[in-house]
Amino acid sequence: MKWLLLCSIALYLFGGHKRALFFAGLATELAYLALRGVVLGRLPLIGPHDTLVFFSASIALMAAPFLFNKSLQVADRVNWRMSFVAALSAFLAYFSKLLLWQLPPMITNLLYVSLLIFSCVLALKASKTFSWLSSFTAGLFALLAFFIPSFAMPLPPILRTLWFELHVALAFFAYALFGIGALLGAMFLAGRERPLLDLQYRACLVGYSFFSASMVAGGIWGYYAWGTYWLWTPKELWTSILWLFYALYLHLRLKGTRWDGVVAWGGIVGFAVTLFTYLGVSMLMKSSHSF
Amino acid sequence: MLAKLYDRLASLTLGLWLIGGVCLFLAVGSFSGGGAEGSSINDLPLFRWLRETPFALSWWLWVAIALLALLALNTVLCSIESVRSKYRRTGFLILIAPQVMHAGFLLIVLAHLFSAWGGYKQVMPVQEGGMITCPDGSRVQVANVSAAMSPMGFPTDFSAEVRSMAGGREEVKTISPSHPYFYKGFGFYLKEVAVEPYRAALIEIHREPGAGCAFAGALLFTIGNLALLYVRRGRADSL
Repeated sequence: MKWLLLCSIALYLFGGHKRALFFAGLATELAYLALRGVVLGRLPLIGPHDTLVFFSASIALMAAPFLFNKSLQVADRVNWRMSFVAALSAFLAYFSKLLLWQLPPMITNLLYVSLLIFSCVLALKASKTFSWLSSFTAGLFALLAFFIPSFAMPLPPILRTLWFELHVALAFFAYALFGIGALLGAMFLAGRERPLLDLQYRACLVGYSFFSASMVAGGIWGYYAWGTYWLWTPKELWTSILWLFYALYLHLRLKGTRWDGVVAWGGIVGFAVTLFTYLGVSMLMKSSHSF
Repeated sequence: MLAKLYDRLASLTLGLWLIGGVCLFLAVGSFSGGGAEGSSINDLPLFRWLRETPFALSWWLWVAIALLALLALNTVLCSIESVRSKYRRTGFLILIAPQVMHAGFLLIVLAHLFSAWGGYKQVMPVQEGGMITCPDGSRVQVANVSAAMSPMGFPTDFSAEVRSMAGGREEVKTISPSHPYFYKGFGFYLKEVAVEPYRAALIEIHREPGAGCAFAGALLFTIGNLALLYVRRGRADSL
């Protein structure tokens, strides 16, 4: 079954320039998620492996409508060699941790992070096409998921409610749109084309709407599961920070066009906050809300 | 001077700084002992926790609440100014959608205020057949504790019955994870059960006075949000 995921990773990382291959990657990844769901008897929304695959698929799914936007269908030459090297170095980053296991963790982690950063920079230089950048991002997260073992644990009784599934799914749709906003912000900073900033705003506004709905669903779930719509834990604190940050971002647009650069950076920093909320809190902090 | 103060308090720039400030101090709090998982912050009403906890552990929340209070005031004033400046110059939905969202946000802040003041939480183990006395003196009995066990001996599902007197009639309800029983403003939540050596249940009793207000705020916010998305569907410029 994991070969489906490997196929989608390859399609994302090596074929994302072409819309047909992009959608093929998305279809294979959705097929993998569907099969996981059949095996588990529920939506695959728990644990690092399943959530990373869901996140990757959400990025591709949310990016899909943007692929048909005229502002993003710019004639941009693709440096094929550079994009291939970018994809290869992303693969190497993950394999290096596996193959060089006998080296001290600090060295393998340093190599891993360096190769990842190198691959991201190369990807940006290879092509500014949205199709390539969004598929590369989806591919990176799917690749991360590939090396994490998947679990087949039954759903704990407290999670057996529609509100939980709604809460998690909506959150990942929001995270994906925030990621797309970050990509559009980076493209704007590279070329200063105003329509890109407008698209970033749109992505972040819809993402904010999904995220707000996710928090509402989470509050309702929490009330029925824990007796309260709010808990003071690191995850909830960072969720509030993320929600407030995007409220700040959306209001920043009212300051006028002189602040365009700040707005674009806001969308990029927002995605960093998103990644910390999703991955950082779960991996670095003690939280019952992990993954 | 009052006009200058009003302009300052109603300014977008102040609002942005306040949002940033709240984000910063919540972030600090997430790394501090007070905001960490396992601290007592979730076991007491928030205002009681703030009174009883050493300032060294709670300072970040005091600052965040102060900034949030200012932000609430800023939100009200900004909404008033927004309506004044756009009245009869734009469509009704464009005028009202952001203000409905602001109202939803303020209701949620109010909800947290109610819960911080009057919240209640009690955890108690109860043997099957045992009685729970609520803070108002009424009593609820826990009966028929049951659990479905996995082959490895872990409970995969569990439930219990609670029996209470309501309006002179006995009411029997089954509670299970995520399916609590609400009685006289209190929620009875089944957290765990034990079947050996005797049947018992771990029950949590909660009262959340702000829940209704939070739900109303969430609803208002969502309605305003949807209206804003509808209004902005063709446009990608400012809010």
